[in-house]
Amino acid sequence: MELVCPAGSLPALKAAIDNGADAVYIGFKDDTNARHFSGLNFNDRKAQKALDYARSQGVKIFVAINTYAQSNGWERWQRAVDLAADLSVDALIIADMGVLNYAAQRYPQLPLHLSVQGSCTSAEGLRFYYREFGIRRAVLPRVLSLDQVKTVAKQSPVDLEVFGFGSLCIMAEGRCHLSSYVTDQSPNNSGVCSPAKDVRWTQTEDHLESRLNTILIDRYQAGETAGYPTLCKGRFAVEANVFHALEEPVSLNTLDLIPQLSAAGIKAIKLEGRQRSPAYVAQIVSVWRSALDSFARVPESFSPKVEWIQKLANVSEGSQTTLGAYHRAWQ
Amino acid sequence: MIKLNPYQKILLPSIKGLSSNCPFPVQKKIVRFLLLPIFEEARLDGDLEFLSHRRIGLAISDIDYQATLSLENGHLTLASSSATERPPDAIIRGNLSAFIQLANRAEDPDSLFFQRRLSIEGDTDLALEVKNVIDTVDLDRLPEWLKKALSLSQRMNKHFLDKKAF
Repeated sequence: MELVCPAGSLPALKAAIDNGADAVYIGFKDDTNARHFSGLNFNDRKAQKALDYARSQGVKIFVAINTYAQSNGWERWQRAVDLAADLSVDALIIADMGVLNYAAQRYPQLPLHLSVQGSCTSAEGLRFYYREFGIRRAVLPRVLSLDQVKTVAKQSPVDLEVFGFGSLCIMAEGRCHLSSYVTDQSPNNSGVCSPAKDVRWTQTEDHLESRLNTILIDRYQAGETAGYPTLCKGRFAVEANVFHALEEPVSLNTLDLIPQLSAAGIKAIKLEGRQRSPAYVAQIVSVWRSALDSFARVPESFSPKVEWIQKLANVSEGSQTTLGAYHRAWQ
Repeated sequence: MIKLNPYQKILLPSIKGLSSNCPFPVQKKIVRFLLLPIFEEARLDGDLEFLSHRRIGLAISDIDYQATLSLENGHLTLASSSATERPPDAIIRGNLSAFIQLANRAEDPDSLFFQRRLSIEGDTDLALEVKNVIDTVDLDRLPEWLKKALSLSQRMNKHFLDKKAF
């Protein structure tokens, strides 16, 4: 299985490649991608440098243009597709049908991947994207159980990529409105969940408080691990209880499932975290490279090593990992 | 009360003594000398411009030291943090050990934040952009003397500072 790794900067891209990425996905410096944070991502010059380094090491570059184009800025999405095509990147990761259509019409040779933000969870949906836009791969949302992944994989007309590791979204991936409910900005429309300009951390006498657009979303006691200030991971009072009513701050980790995912015919594993540092990228990529190599050597006796799990837990949100939806019994 | 290991009990007050007794113009020269090669590429790329008229504070709690950084003629410079000056727009706070690990890319800043070893006060967007610009620095392209100094600081951290009290 191909290991697809995140990079929000040139040093992160080098860290991914030097630690064994097969492909690295990046975004441009605007709201055409779902990690539109200040100081992150690649302008055209840095993207060229990234591509040169990747080519010299035989690694692929994918460009995420995975937000939904707005009518008042359509040129930005066109320009992003044009720039990626000019750079001759290896694939575009797109969610919006308008952007898919533009790329498919204009650059028919350029491979297209359906982004996780496209939120396509059925073989029938995948057939539609394949028929209309000729996508070659789709990234499945992290809402499917392992049995559901297997069923979709059996009937899919295109290669499938699934998430292997990273911060988890609430179970409405690609369709979540929680961030815009509080801040007016969401990943799909503005490329950002919980925009940093709306986030405030305040240390009080007893607690660390996180607020999103002045609304209190969590209160951490001394020594308690913190999470990203997203509404889905806040703690709320429901009747008499204050708890993570929507989702716990944890990271997905599917090292255990490598044999099953491979047997299901999954072609690529995606690691999340373009917003994270080169140190994070180096650590998670090296663990996943070791795990995939170990599985390739002796598939029948594969078992994740304790130190891999510890290393991943160390960089995880909430310092915990989970199998997420994969282990659910709802199918 | 946080328990210190024997090395911390000696090292931290010594570093604190050095930093608090160092006159501001000398501190400014040292910081300029260290930061110039690190952020030169970012400066040339225009990646530091967001700091125009903004001030970012780095507070090293266990040596009771706070540096305020701002732009001066386009260069990242130590600004006076005296009481008469405007307070920083954002402060990134942590122990010396956390900052050494960050400088060496030995730890990921978000992980340190989750673990409560780093905190952010004030303008989160400004602090995030500072973090992201630091992440764009290509450590491989730093001058040899600076690479050696960083690796020495990392060794000091690993052997002395980042150990639990025993």
